[in-house]
Amino acid sequence: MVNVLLNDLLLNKKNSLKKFLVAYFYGISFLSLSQPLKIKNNESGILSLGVRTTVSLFNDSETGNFGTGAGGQFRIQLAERVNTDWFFDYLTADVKEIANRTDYHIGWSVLFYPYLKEKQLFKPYILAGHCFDYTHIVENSNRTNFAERWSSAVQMGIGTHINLTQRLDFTVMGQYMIHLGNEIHPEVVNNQLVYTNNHNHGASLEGHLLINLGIHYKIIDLWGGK
Amino acid sequence: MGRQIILFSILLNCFTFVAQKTKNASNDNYFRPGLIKASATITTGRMLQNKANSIYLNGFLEYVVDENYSFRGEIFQFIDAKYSGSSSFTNPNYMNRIYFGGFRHFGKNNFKIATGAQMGVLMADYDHTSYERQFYVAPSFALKLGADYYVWDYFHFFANLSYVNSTIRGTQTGKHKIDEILFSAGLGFQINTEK
Repeated sequence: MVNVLLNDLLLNKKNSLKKFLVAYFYGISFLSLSQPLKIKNNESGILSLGVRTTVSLFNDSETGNFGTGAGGQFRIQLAERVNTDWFFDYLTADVKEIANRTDYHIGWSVLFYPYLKEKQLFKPYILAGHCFDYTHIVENSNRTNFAERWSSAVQMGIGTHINLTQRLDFTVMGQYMIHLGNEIHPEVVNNQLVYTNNHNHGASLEGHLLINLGIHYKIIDLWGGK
Repeated sequence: MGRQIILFSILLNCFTFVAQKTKNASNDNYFRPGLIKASATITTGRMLQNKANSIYLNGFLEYVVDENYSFRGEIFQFIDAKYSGSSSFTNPNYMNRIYFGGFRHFGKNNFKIATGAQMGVLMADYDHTSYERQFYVAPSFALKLGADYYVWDYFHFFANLSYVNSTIRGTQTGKHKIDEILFSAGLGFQINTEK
């Protein structure tokens, strides 16, 4: 059947052949993902891809509402005990029921595994890293009334991978992230949202606790545990 | 101030716990003579007499000269502060702190407690009135307590608590004592220059 199709494509449609070959090799690639990952020495060099969902508690902010987010990340493991997360998060939250807030996080963390053994279900870690962020606050009933800022942040936290299979893990993590950027201080004055700034230089610190739940799949051993 | 001390204590306990769990797991000792460490992070502070919460950007460069001793240069660049009604020194146009000193490191393997003293200066540019602006350089010293956990050839986690002492003299309203407790933590980088 495949031969007939291939002959037909070879004879008649060069463009279709290209599409077929691309689809074929993609298919082969995906099939290989279901195979056990060949790890040469240790887990150094493993590239993982994943998605994550986030709960954000803006507990240092005037916009102290509960936020939720979604994002993705990839991991590159540098040594048996050291991994790195490279992530992007998109978070939304209400501001005093009259506005909403959107945060974009892009950053990285170094993960250290203090406790290792063979075939462990729970693989706990501690982490620290850096992040760059963009925040946008806009009034619900007046989209032209908004404030925005760029900020940078440092974060520290703890978490654990739950290894469901050799290649698949579920990750639970809590991290405290502290942002340095221009202050956005939304206040309701005469039933309108206004943005005030109490700081002379306009800068402020804003910390929040992030709870992340993620699922990751190990794709390839990039340098074979060297 | 209490918050910074609590945060430092929590991190210290976490590092100690993790270090105990891993003390026999790794034979690599990343802290050794020839190590160069550096990082930059956000630092929060409490001005003790001035009753304000400050924000700094903090960077350091440290060289380990011996199994237990290191030299460290450090800069704190003032960003902003949240002042109270009783703050007497408010809204400097520019302020930073520069220090250099020695540290003693305690502990085995890759978990280290460090204490040290640093000498330095506080530099501030301040508007006394709408028409008078003056630049001050005030001698200063810092006493530090830190915890470092070296996790790999190139990374370590750190937490530092510093007491910095400084007095700006000669202002129109007399002297201003600006002692602070500073807390910083984060991810540090290092390279070994000797094998």
